[in-house]
Amino acid sequence: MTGISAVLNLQALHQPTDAVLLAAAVQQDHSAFATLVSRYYDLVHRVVWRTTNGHADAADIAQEAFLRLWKNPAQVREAKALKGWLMRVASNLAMDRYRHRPLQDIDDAGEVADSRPNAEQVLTRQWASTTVDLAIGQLPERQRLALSLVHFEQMSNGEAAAIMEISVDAVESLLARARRSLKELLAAEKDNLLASLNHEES
Amino acid sequence: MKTPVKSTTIEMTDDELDKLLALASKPPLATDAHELLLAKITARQSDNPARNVVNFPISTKKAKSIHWLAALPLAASLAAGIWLGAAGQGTDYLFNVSDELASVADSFAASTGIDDAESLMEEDLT
Repeated sequence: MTGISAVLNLQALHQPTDAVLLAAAVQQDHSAFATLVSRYYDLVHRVVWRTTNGHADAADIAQEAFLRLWKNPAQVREAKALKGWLMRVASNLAMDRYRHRPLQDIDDAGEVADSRPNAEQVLTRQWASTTVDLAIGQLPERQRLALSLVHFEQMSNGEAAAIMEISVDAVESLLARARRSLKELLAAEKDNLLASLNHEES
Repeated sequence: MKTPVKSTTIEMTDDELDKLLALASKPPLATDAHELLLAKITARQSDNPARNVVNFPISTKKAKSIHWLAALPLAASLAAGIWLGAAGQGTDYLFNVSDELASVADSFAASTGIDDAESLMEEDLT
């Protein structure tokens, strides 16, 4: 066990920094860029997916952000800002693309069709997930992005502020409004949702 | 399916909201997403090979300042014309110029020798 952790630590020490990878990417080094993709793609995809409320184009948008980086890596002035740069570009692309999309109503969650036998637990879980997803989808996009970064991706308010190019106070305000709205949107189904959670745990 | 539970009017706590948010769907990620992206990059690079030509930087700021410079003498000329007209000095200057031009024209007419031409022809005929 100690040997494995020592090997992992050694690997971590030998992992190239973003600065090294970015400098190599400027020279059109594919393997360096592939390491950056493996390091950040999943994170960018998750945030875009939540910002677009689970739209299928999330992958396209995440890819577009990386293609822009590959096209001109030098536009990232500081390597330590690379993660923030990718998140900012991707979230801006996502918001531009879905700015005028009509919102779904939370009441549309309805019943979830599932043909599997004895699927009561699965259906309950799907209904609960859909209800929560729709509530998140009803938030204004800036609130949704703040919630995605801070709550789901466990970023600090400062990191989220840097990505969204707003002050920390503004992030806190967005989060507070998002949480207040979610409480109101989910209030009617709160007990059923919590019951589904308890049922799942037992 | 879901079991209906009598809802309460107690406000939802932050802890309860966090529990509900844990129910949100997890973003599905295609297993070959990284490979697809890298393949797209390779395809784009082969479509657009690296250029050997470096574009000159074009400064639009400089071009704008040149336009302003060109307008300056025109504006100065207009201002001078207005000032001369308002002061009544321009008219005197213009009359002097026209008199000068008339006298020059007269001197040109005097030195053409056209008057002398007739007599010379008469001389030739005689």
